[in-house]
Formats: sequence, structure tokens, C-alpha cells
Amino acid sequence: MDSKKKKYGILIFCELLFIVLCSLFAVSSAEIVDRIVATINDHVITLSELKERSRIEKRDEKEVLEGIINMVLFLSEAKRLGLADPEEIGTDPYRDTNLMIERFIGRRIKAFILIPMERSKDFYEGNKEKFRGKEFLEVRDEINLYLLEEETNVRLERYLKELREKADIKILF
Amino acid sequence: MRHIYVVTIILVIFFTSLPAYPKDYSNMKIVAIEVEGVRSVKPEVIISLMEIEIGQPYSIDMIRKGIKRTYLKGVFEDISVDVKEIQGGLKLRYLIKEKVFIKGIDFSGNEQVSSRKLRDEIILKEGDEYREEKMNGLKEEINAYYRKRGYRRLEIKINIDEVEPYRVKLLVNIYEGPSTKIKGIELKGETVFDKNEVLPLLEIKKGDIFDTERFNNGLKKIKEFYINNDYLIAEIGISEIEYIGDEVSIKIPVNPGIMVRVNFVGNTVFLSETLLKEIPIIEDGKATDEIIQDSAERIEELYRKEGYYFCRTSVGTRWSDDKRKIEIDFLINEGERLYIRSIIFEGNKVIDSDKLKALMTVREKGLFTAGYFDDRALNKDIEAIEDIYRGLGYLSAKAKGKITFDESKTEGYVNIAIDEGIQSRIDEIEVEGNTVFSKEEILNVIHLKKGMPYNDVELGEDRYHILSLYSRKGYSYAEVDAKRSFSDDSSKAFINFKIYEGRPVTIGKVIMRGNKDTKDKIIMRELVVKDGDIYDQEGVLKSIQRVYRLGIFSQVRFEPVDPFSRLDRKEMLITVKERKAGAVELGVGYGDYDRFRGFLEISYKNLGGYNRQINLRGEGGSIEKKYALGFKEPWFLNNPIDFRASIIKEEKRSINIDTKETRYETKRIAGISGIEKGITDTLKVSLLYEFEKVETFNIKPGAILTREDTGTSGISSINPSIIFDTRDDPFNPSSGILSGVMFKFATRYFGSEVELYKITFQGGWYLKLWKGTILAFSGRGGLGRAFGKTEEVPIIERFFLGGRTTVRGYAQDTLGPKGSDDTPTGGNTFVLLNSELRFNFLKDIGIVTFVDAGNVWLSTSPAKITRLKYTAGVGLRYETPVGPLRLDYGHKIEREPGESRGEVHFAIGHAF
Repeated sequence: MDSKKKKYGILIFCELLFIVLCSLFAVSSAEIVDRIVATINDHVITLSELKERSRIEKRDEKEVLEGIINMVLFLSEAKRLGLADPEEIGTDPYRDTNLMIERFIGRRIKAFILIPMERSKDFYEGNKEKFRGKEFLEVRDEINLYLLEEETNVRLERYLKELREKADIKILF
Repeated sequence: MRHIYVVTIILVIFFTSLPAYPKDYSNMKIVAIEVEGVRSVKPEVIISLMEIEIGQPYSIDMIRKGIKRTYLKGVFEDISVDVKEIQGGLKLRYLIKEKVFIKGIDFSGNEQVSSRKLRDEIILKEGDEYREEKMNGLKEEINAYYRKRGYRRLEIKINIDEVEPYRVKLLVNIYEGPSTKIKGIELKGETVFDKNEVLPLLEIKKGDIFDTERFNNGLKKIKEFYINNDYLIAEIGISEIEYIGDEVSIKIPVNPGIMVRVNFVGNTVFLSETLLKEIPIIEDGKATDEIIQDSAERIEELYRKEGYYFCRTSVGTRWSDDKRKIEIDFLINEGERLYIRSIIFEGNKVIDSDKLKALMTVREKGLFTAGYFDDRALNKDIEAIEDIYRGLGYLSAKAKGKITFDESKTEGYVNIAIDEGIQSRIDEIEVEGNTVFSKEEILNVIHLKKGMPYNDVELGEDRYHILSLYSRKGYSYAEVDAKRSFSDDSSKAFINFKIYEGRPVTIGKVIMRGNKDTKDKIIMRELVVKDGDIYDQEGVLKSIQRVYRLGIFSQVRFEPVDPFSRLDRKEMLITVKERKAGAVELGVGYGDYDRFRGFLEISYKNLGGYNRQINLRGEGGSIEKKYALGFKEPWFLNNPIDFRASIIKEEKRSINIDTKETRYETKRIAGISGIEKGITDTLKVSLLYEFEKVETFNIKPGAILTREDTGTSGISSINPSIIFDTRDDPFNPSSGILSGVMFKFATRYFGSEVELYKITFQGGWYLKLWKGTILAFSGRGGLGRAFGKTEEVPIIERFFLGGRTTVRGYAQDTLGPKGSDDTPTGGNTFVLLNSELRFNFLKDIGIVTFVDAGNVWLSTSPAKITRLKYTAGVGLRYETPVGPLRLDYGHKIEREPGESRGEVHFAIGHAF
């Protein structure tokens, strides 16, 4: 029994010693609190802000990083083209920028899209069963809106690709 | 027992995983800061950019902003920050990884294309950041250029040579491979001309290397050939190119289209070739009815611009039976040129007719004016007249123009009826919302005043004047609404300026970028706005000018890091591009006095990155040799004062220009040092100490006045001077003043063997009379006197006049007193006056007329200073970057017996 107790005692002592050492190690070792994870021209994205965004958006950091890069590119393009209202830009680049990006997309992309009647008709003919017997004129606006969004997304992707090609993007993640 | 193991494992996992979750160090005190890995700047620069101090509480936001700010410096690739808890608080450690830059790009194996050409073709340049992922792009650029030149089997290897830490040299090895030869060229679809007539125009043939640039030029020549043969709408299509091994087969599709022959009938004013260029048939590649009609209109427009107001063009077209040919005849009835006999105004009371006429581009026919009528120009003049009236407060003024002709339709009478309306004068100016400036201060900066005629343009400008006033005080976001209203009868205008002042903005951290060699403080000390100062746009612009003036940067930008954000504290980024600090200059010249001469100068403007300048110059010719080593420190003892030091060795021979006989020779070694300070942009003072050892020998006996004239003497002197210079260009001034006083004082108390003082005055005035004509005056005078044991001012210090820069009717240094053998002795007093009228009649060529007057006297007594010698003359000028190359002839006005009539001089630079 004594030897058992002794064994337990040694074990508990080792345990405590280990825990203390681990705690000491955890406290005294240096911790990286921030660093550069990506640069887009002169704009820097740091690890701390990436983690913060990832926590808020509840998404994977790599995905979030891609989103931030796109946003930075749109924002700097909006500023370059004078589509950014300085009043809307605060100290936090991720805050209050949605409106600006929406406006940018509206003026630079959506404004140039015209959906020809033939395309709407073709879409109607190809998806007639979805409209449950409704006439083309009844659903024309709905189709146009759908096709406009679709075309906007295609052009947005193309525009973004061009912006990415022109920009100096470096990912150190 | 088992439980203990399980607990142990859980605890181990828990504690070891602790560091993976960032601990919250907020508000803990920073007690130590370390910077590692930085080489291009001092660690203090990083700490300053991070805006972190020991004793400050920790904040992640502060760390993040610091990283972003420091990255803008442009030389860091990665910055990471770690934190460690130590006794008393936190230790921050900045780990910096610097960017690698390209120090040079060397090519080898390139036999067909020069390295220089390849450097021009690639985007990557010396000084750019080295990035491995960019190397494929570099290869592709080289490949693309070689492909254009006919080399498609290129092999490129890029090796990296680390020449120093963070600096690499790219070694680009090219294996060019065999060239692509032309196997055959065919015309496809051509039916009009024989291929043997067309293909030689390409100037590239079977067996040649397929150089696409040459080939495309050839295609242009084929197109021209078709146009010249009346196939105006011929189409040369995109060539079909087929590569077979190292050979290429080319097919050029040609569609000659129909033959379009254009005939112009009745044109005497313009050549048919000129008219052909005006018509859009070739440009559009079509000969439709609309284009033909448009062509006729363009022809009429061309004529009307030249005053042929009645010109009419009719068009006739004739098709061949097979519809393969069309002839277009433009029948031009040019009519007579319509000249304006008179311009008459009606209804103008405020501005008289002559003043209105002077404002117009349409003019009456006169001795110096063509005076032909152009209806479009008249319409613009009418608008300009209305604008003038509006500027004077006649806001509803209307002008209408009409032209009537005589029977011959060669002379017209322009009548302009003006309804001036009522003038609006300013009755009241209100200012609202101002707290920073008083109403009086605001009214002082605006141009519109109570009682003045009102006009919209001035109102807009005054709005900017108010904004600029606020901007100077840091209120960059101030806004001003300028509104105006009028009394019922429009005679009174009421102005209201509503000001939204906003918040004042201050300058934040200034980040420097691009200064790879130059130290930060060299730029920082030139900035007139600094961290914490009010954001003043004028101060920013002035800072840019001051940094440019250092002469070591080819580009300077000073702007907010984020110009779009409305922050109260704007961080600033100053971006510079360094120019090469070292220079080698070499020049040769020819002058009538010193014949051939040349110079070689090696200079370096940025010694150690401190903008210290050093130069070594050697110059020489048939009568003079000079070597000088100079040094300049622009901020002496941390003050904006120039410190200069130089050592000069000189050997000189004074000669008689006609006989080439030596008058005297000197050898001089001098050491000069002193300070120079620009009090304002135009006023400069200097104080120099000079010690010179001068040996004068081989003197013609007649020129010797005292024993000090021969042998070796040491002259130790101080030389204060003051210069006022407002000239627009020191080499070729067209306006401004240059005046100054220079003093030289040598005494035995400074260790001088010769005791003397000299004072020299100069004053120059440059005035632009009208474009290309400048009037220049200059007055110079000097007085020298020996004292103590020195009997006379030695010959080396005496004044001499005559020659290319003084009195040009006399040979070099021949004016004034002469010795027994007629050798000029020089004098102790001189007066020199010059005037020039400089005409520039071609781009770089000009002529000059001048009158010079001056003389030299031995006496310093004003009573004995009489009789100036006058010369007048003409000269030719050819502009060069360092001043004009000039040839002058000066004619003596009062010639003495035995003297020549005048002298010819050839030199570089203006006489004064």
C-alpha cells in the first residue's frame, strides 16, 4: 500500500512539475501576435485582422483572405475612378464599404449591361415549364432582372480578373 | 491509476495548446522593444514608424497600424511581431524580412539582339524587387521579342547572383536557336496586279528571316500601292501564316475592291493631293453615297476656313458597265475670297468698338491682317463678347452678328448688334458659418468687393480663395457654398458665402520611400510641414520643390497615404526616385582668345547619402590649365548653410591676341573655404577665406608697375559677398535682376604677403519686351587698392577690360593704361556698362545688337576717372543647353590712331 502511495505521490509530483513547466513554457515563450499575410500593391493585410474577419464571418481564413483581396481591389478602383465618397471611408477599411462597392458595381458594370429582347425570349422559351403557363410579357421583368444579375456576375468576375492581373498581389500565408 | 494518466494527457494537451490561442495582452505595459533582421534602415526608424514607445500600453490595433505604416517604406517583404511576457510587462520583437532588389541584368548568348535593346523590351528594370514568380514573365517578354524578329526556338536560363545582401544580379543566358526562314509568300485573291509587281513591295522575300516588323511595314507599302493606283478601298487581310519546322509559309489575302478614281475639278487654292487627304473614302474603306456627300461637305468646310465663304462643291459619279470602277468628280466652285471691309458695332455703350474689335479673332482687312471672313470664328467671337459683358456685370447681355456683302461678293460688312442690358453691381456680401476667420479676413482674400460689377466667374474663383484660406490653416475639409441673388431690376447683386468649416487636419507620420542611398534626414530636413503640423497644401508643395532642389531626385511625390479618407491626422508618404548621383562631363570649345579648350569633370552629388557633393575638374587650352577639387556640404553643422572647400591649381598665360606675344604668366595654387547662405530664394550671402600662392613671371617689362608684380607672393584674404538674383534662367535670362557686391580683403594679420582690398559691384537687368525679344543691361565697377607695405595692387589682382565679355570693340584685356612698350598694365578702377537687344527669330538662332562702354584707370581718385570707351556691334547666337554659342563684332566708336576698327569674338555664353 505504501509503495502504491509512494508511486501515486511520485506520479502526482511529476504531474504537477510537468504542469508547472508547461505553464511556465506557455507563459514565457514569445507569441506571434501579428504579421503580414498578404499585400495588394501598398495595402497590407495582417494576420490579426484576417483572424478577426474569419471569426466574424465564421469562414475559413483562406476564403476570407480572397474576399478581402477582392474588396481591397474594388475599393481602390472605386477611389481611382472617383466613385468613392470620402465621407463613407472611415479608419476601418472593412466597415461601411458595401454601399460603395454596390455603387461601384452599379456604375461601372450594371450600367453597361443591356439585355436584348431576344435573349429574354430565348430564356423564356428554354425554361417555359418554370413559369407555369404565364405569358412572356407577364414574366419579362423578372427574367430581365435574373439575366441582369447573371450577366453582372459574369462581368464582375472578368473585371476582377483584370484587376488582379494588373495589381501586385503577394500572399505570404 | 488509469485516471491519472487520462488527466495528465488532458492537462498536457490543454497547456501545450495555450500558445495557439492569442492571449489578450491589452493594456499591459511595453517594457522592451527589439528589432531584428533590418539592414537598410536603423532599428530606430522602425520603432519610430511603428509609433511605439517603452512604457506605452499594448494594443493590437497599434501593432497592426504600425506594420501597415512600416510596409509603406517599400523595402520590407514581411514584418512579424511577437510578444513575450517579461518582468514588469511585455517585450515586443519586430522581425523584419527585407525585399531583395535587382542590382543589374546581364545578358549572354544574344547575338542577334543587343543587350540594350533587350533591356528596353523587358518590363523588369534595375532597382525593381526581385520575385521568383516574375522570372517566367521575363522569359516570355524576351521570347516575344525574339519571335517578332524571326527566332522561335529560344532557350532562356536565368541565374541569380547575390552580389550583396538583398541585392541580386540576373544573369540571362539565351540560346537563340535557328531563325525561321520564309519558305514562300503568296497573294491570295489578287486579280488586278501581277504578283511580281506587288510582292517586291514587301522588301522581304523567300529565304529571308521572317521578321514580323519588316513584314508588317511591307504590308503597309502594298496598301499604299493600291491607293496610289486608284484602288482606294483595297483591303489587305490578316495574313495566313503556317510554320513548317524552321520555315514559314505566308498567304496574304488581298481584296482590291472596285477602282475608285477621284477627280477634283476647279480647285486652284488647294492641291488635289491635299483635298484627297480630307475626304473619308480611304479612312472608311467605302465609297457609299453618304461618304461621297460627306466628302463634299468636308471640302467646303476646308475652303470656308480660309475665307472662301461662297465655295460650293457638287459631286458627280460615273460607274463602269461592269460596276468594277467608279469615277467621282468633285466640281468645286471656289468663288471669291470674302474679305471683311468693316466691323461695326451697334448698341455698345460700356465698351467702345475698338476694344471689342481687339478681342475678336475675325479682323478687318488691313496692312498687317489678312481679314478674310470665317463664319465659325465670328460665332466664337460673338460668344466671347457676351462673356466679356457678363464679366462686367451685364449678365443678360446679348450680341448678334450679321454679314452683308457687296455685289462682287468679295467684300463683306460685319454688323454686331449688342443689347447690353442692365449692369448688376454688388450691393452686399454676406459670410456665414465662419468661426476660424473673421468676416474682414475672408473679405480681404476675395476679389469681389461691394460696388464692383458682379460676375459668375469671379464668384467661383472667390469660393476657391476662401477654401484656400481655410486649407492653409489645416481645414482641408472645409466647404463653401457661394450663392447670389439680384434685385428685381437686376441692378443690385447680393452675395452669400456659407462656410462649413469642418475639423482641422494635422500631418501624421511622414514615411519615406524610394531613398535607397539617401538618408531619411536629408529629405526630412527639407520638409516645411512635419508630423504634428497643420496640414497645409502650400507647405506640401513647397516641400516638394525643396526636395527637388537637392538635385539628387528625378521624381518627388508628397501625398497623404490615403488621400480619400477624411481623417483628422493624415499620414504622409514621400516617394522619391533617386537619379544617378555620379556624373562625368566632357566638353570642348573654341574661343578667339584662348582658341581650343576642353574640360573633364567628374562629380558625385550624394556622398554617403548625405547630399554632400564632390567634384574634380580639369580644364585646359593653349593659354590656361586649371585643376580644381571641390567639396560642398549643404547643411553645415546641421544648419541650412552651404560649406564649400576647394583646392585649385592654375597656370595661365596672358597674351596679345594679335601678335600672340606673352604679356605675363602666372602659376597659382589656392585653397578656398567658407560658407554660403541663401537668406531668401533670391538673396544669397557668402563669406570665403582664400589663401593663394601666386607666382608671376615672364612679364613684359612695360606691364610691371612695382616689384610685387613679379615673383611669388602669398595672398591670404577674406571674401564676403552678397548676391541678389531673380533671373528666370542663369544661362539665358529673359527676365529678372542680378546684382551683387563682392569684397576682398588681404592683410598681413591674416598672414598675407600682399595687403590690398578690392570691391566689385555688378548689376544686371533683363526685360522681355515681347516674344523673342529681350532687352539686357549691365553695369559693373570695381576698385582695388594696396595698403601697408604693398605699393601697388599686383598685376594678378588688377582689373583688365576689353574682349568678349567686356568692351567688345577692343581685343582681350587691351583697354586702359599701357606701359612704355604699349603693353596694357591693367588698373585699379574700372567701370563697365553694357546693353544688348536680343532677338530670337528662329527656334535656336538669334541676333543681338549691343553697345558697350567702359574703361580702366590706375588711379582710384574719382576726379581722374573720365572718358569711357564706347563700342557698338552686332552678334549671332545659336542656343545650346549651356548658353548660346556666339559670334560678335564690336566696332570702336572713337578710334584712336593706330587702333583697329573693331574686333570679332567667338565664345560660349552671353557676354553678361
